[in-house]
Amino acid sequence: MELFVQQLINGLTIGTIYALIALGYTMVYGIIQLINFAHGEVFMVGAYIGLTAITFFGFVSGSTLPMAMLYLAVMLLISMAGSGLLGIVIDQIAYRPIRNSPRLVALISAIGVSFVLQNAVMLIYGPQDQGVPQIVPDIHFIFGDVTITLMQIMILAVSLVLMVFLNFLVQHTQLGRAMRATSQDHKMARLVGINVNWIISLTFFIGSAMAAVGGVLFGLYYHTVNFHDGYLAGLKAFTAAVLGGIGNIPGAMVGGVLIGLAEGLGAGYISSEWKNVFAFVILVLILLFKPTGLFGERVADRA
Amino acid sequence: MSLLRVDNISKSFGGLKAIQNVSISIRPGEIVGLIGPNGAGKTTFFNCITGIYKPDAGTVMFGDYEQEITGLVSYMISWRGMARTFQNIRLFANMSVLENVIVGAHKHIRSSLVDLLFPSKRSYADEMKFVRRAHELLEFFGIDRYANDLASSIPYGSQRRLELARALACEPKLLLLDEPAAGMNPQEKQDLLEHISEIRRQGISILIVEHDMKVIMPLSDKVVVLDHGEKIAEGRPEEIQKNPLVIEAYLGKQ
Repeated sequence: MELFVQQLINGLTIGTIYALIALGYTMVYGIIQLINFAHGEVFMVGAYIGLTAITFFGFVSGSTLPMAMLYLAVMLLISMAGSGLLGIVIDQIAYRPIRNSPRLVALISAIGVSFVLQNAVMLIYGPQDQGVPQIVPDIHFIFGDVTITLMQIMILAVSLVLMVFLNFLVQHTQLGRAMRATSQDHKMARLVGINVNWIISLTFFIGSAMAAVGGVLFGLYYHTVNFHDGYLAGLKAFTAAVLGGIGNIPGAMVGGVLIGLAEGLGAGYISSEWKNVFAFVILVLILLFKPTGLFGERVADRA
Repeated sequence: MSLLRVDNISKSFGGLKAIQNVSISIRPGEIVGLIGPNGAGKTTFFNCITGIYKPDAGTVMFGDYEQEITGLVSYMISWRGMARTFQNIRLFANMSVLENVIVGAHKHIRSSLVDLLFPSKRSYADEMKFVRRAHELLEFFGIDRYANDLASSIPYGSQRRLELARALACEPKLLLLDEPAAGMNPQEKQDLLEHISEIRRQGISILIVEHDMKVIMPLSDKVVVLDHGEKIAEGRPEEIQKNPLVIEAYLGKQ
């Protein structure tokens, strides 16, 4: 039982990070029906921007909790802004010129962007792991045999707040209405006065900013970042988006958490060596038996 | 002084000349009917005016100061006060009826990121104002009872009305209607005539494409006839009905 609860907490933590990344896949797909395979790299760049910001501001370990919160907020904001802009730039350079080409073209372009970003980061920071300082104090809350760290609580809290905010934005604001209108019919959206290109840029910005938050939290959680962290995390988040039904925002959130839980419980009960296998087993199973995902209904007629 | 002045626009697709040197002008408050056999270029003409296609030649002037809008992106044309409906209904199917209308008023709603992150009383009041306005429009068309239903789930006739409500939500100066009576029964057509007359009374000009002469003739101040992409006649409805060229275009040579 203790093992179960412990792995549930661990799985939930990493699952919310996957969910944050998955949002970007699903939002971009919803608007322009493109799988942005460079998105995992945006997550990785987000982690590096956060790390650079904190190095720049000269963080010293062992600060008080309020100082730690302030540092975390600064890290997140800078990383969100930087990665959000990167997302817009990627769209402008790699996708907009080929907006009306066959999908395979955009997919190849995405893979190209992915290589460029990985190698750029490797050239700038070097191929070795970069240590991320312990910003959130290393506090453990122990309940019997179950431990939950302050970092885990922070991850859950930040992710939850962002997801609630995003849902509110999409469902209840004019901006969200314009995004949903655009995702259904670009031509009609333009005719009611929506600047579709602006909405697409904004979607890339928001999706990339969410991934950046995931990246910063990921770095703080594992204490290291590496230039190819984005590959695996990106693929798992993509799986999460497909599991939830790609194009569906709440679906991506649920999908991310489910992938995290499968990974946590699989690692606990089967073997942690197999940790990375579970997500992809799920991917194969969904594609075989329910390609539209849990909440999706659109993949079948578009893919 | 005209609200819309189209001078000699042409548009070809490959070798097909969809419209050739068509000119038309609409004065404020006027209803102009655009008729012609199938394939005459009526919808292409609409698409050229609303920015979906860029005309190959000719100019389109629009607004109180006759500004040129030729080839502008369609959202910019919409911002200047032009709205349209489609021959085949194009609602935002996965949004509620009410939201379809609110989205139609997009250009009037201030909803910047700043407003969003720091919700002010003003932006909330704005939002409420548009919700009220949307309900008014739905009531005008008698479909307010569907306000919270999905747009795709309401009856066909009501969807047609919802398209009109959405187009009116942006408070256009000119409304372009592409076969608004298609698929309607006589009673629905009668209601449509009344709605259009009421819209005109609010000072909105209308350009209407329609096959049903029972709709076109009583409404239009002026009728323009297209055939094979060219304008073959223009005049008052009763003149058009007698025009031998028009009769020939519709019925063939005797």
